[in-house]
Amino acid sequence: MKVKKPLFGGRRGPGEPQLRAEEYRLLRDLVSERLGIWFGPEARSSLERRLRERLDVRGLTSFADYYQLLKYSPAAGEEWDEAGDLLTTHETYFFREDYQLRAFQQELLPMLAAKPRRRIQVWSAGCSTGEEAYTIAMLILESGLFEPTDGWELRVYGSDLSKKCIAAARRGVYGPASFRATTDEARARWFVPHGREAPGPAGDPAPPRFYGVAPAARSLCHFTQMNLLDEERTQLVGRCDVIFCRNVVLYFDAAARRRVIETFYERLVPGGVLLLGHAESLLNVSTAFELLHLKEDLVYRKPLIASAVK
Amino acid sequence: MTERTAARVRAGLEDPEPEVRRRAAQEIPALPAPESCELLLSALGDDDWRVRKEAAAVATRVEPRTAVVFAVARALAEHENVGLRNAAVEALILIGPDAVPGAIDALGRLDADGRKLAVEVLAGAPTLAGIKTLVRATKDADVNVVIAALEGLGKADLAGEEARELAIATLTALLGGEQETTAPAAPAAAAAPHAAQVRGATLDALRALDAPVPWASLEPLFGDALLRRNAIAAAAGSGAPRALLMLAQAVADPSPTLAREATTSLGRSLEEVWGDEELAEIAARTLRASPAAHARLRALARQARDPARGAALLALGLVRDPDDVSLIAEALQSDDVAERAEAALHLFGDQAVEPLLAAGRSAAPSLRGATISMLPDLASSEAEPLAAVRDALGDTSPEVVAPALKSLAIVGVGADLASVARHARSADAKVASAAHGALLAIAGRHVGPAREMLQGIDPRGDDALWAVIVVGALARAGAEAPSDAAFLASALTHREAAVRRATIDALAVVGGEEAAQAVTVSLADEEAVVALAAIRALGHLGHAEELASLAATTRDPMRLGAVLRALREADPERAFAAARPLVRSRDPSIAAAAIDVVGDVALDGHVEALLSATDHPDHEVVKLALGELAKLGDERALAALASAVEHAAESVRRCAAELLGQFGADGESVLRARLDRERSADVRRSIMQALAVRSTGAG
Repeated sequence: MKVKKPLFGGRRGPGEPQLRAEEYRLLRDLVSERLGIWFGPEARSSLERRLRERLDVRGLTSFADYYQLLKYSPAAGEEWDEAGDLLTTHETYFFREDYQLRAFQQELLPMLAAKPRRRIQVWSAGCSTGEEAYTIAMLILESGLFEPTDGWELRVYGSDLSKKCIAAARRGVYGPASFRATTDEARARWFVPHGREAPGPAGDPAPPRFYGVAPAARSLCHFTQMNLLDEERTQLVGRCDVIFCRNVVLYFDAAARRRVIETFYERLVPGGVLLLGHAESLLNVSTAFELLHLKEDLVYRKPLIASAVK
Repeated sequence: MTERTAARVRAGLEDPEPEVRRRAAQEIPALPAPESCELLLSALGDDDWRVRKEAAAVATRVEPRTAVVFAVARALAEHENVGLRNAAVEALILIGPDAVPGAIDALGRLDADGRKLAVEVLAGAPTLAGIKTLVRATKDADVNVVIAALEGLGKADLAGEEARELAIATLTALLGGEQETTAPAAPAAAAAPHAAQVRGATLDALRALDAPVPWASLEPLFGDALLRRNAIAAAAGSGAPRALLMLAQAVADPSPTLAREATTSLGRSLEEVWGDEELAEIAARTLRASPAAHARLRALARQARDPARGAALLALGLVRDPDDVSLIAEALQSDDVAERAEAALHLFGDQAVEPLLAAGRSAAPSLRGATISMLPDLASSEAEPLAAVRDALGDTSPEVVAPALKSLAIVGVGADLASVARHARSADAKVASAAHGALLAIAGRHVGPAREMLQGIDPRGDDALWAVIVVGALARAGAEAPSDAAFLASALTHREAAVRRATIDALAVVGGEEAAQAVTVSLADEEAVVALAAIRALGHLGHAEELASLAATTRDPMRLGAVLRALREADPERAFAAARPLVRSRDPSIAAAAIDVVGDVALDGHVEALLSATDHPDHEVVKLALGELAKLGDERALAALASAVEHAAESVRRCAAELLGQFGADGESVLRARLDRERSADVRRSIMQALAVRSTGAG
């Protein structure tokens, strides 16, 4: 829905700088080039609101100065970490989009269990605060198909643009919002209460609000801060059997989407599978993947023959 | 070599393995004509969708283009291989305006199925010539062709204003509207049995073009089962009282699709009539009287990614049921609908306060913060909301404390200064910044208590930060005291950079030679934020001489940018003289800083200086210069942009296209001419968006 006229003109405190149209154009293009995230014409106030605090931290008085900082300053690298953190969406929770997780557990994991090489690596690309990566680890362990005593080497990589998110993922302690789709059974099995709560009115201990991920799942997961457009960094992930990248590329512009999908193709082993969010597809992005029809989901597979003809 | 490549590609395209054929298709552009055309057609007709899709994508790179276009257009006549036909359409659309003559040519020779495909090509690669052909196609003997043509006219804005106007005139005439037009006055006889379909497509096309449809034409269609959805969508933005009434009624439609469409349209109409309480009340009464409509709005307002969410929130604001406040408040956290949620809460006025306070008590920090930030707007003088804002200062989450401080900046009083001051040294940047703003605002309004608060404060102690901010606020309010200068001079040597920076800001307001001397010392501060503040302060204090000398010696881009901008404030002519030679600096960061200043100082020679930067080797510098030139809005700017839209770098062409969209008819001609030649799909998209922005007047 297009806003014809501003209803209230946005919320800006006294003396706070305004993001002018030309500054918006420059910053928008810079963010797109560096992070792949695309801000459309309606998103000016959103960009302004998200980045405003950085101007003050840096002692700047205009968004033009901030553009200069991001583009040309020696301090740009560390500032991009901060900006990336503010510009990305961190909404996630355990066992999100259960139909896809069922497809992963019931159909893809048995396929992986049939591999001759006893090594499984899954990449949760854009893992935010880590819930998805831990969920994947839990599903792998729950399947019972990959007993470490049988020589299986299991690894789940979680990566995100935001350093703060990665720090939270490594901490592995979560509040109620992360458990909105977690059954009591799963909670009991895969989480341990964290911290003490104040006693209730009757003096009895209140139920815990925070839980930590159980060690078995934690030990499978490794986290790292990474820009998916940074080819040098993505090389470090190694070859993956499955890549989850859900609700990430929908925020990217077309060029960034193509680059990221190429990276995934390159990182997957032949026959490896890419799972996108339900609103995302590779239509008009890449023809490199085959469609693999599962009972509950449609996923993308790198052709088995790919490496032979490359 | 080429023969070997051709043989390999040919063999690859015949391989039984689809992946091998797909990779062979990628190599087709490397082959010469006519083999490239032949193999392209073969790949476009492959059994596997991935090979066809790859072939369509590489078609844009196969030469000679005219031969490719006419060869692929011939495939539109294909009857047996549906995959080939569809891939041919996709390839031609990707080729873009160059494919239009081929599609127009094919239109005259093909059967109905083929004509429909040719029309789809014209719709997918919108040009003025293509839109004129689509107008003729609305008289086709086949109804499917007519409908495809109407859908294509709905994209006419991407071909510029003339195309959009032509399309609107044609569509309005088809609808039996009142506007004068040279377009056909009625649909073709062949389409008559399918009149409802044709009208529906016509309404949708008008909606897509954001063209108003007279309410009188729409109202009868609300009762037509076949056209109700189209009519509801086309009524979006109408401010007619009956439109508001009927859209509000349609929100309760049993069909979820129609109800969503009605909500979206009602939202657009509410935005159009915003501020007209009488009109809004028409919709409000209807919604309040309908529990089904209310329930539907609540459901839509809860859907995080539903495009109708913002409209549902606005409509709930009209209903003003206190039970909805927490639901609306939730949306304050979502960037895409926050503005509408705020608008909805404003419609409640102080009725929102109680439920907002209740919602804030148990919510997550971000929502608590959002509710706190709304309270001063809704009830700035009432005790209870203000008490909640003050309580929020004690919250453990920065997401709550920062909005509370911002709220107090608006409504706080002298008694709040102490509690605000406690946050000035917060480790959270957002909180510290909000506290700084609040101190400045409150102390400026309540100078007596602010002055009193400074009693006995050590300028080198832990309270120095808030104290120097308050001194600065008092100076701004014209309430300086003789002791302030000594206080600031002492604070300037504080161990914390934040204090030194705030002191410099205060000295800049206090003014005078002593202040300037103190500030000058801080130019050498090792902390960038302090040095930058000193540079800005010198500008504010009018010390051009010092700044001009700094401009000649500074190389750090951030500092140089700050120096040039400060010099601009102190002495625009000297700033211009200093910046002008730097616009062509080899260091792009320096050139960028110089362009910013030169563009802003409209002195003789600034246009020439900016023009000289348009061939800078760094594309970002070129874009900056173009942005500054575009602000001139004159012929020189147009010429520069016309030249830049031919630039070798795609990013520059895209930037020039976007800027040309603001240049009226002349800009449109340049864009249309370039669109016909542009090979990059991304740049073409930018050009079409610029044309659309221009033709609809949006953006």
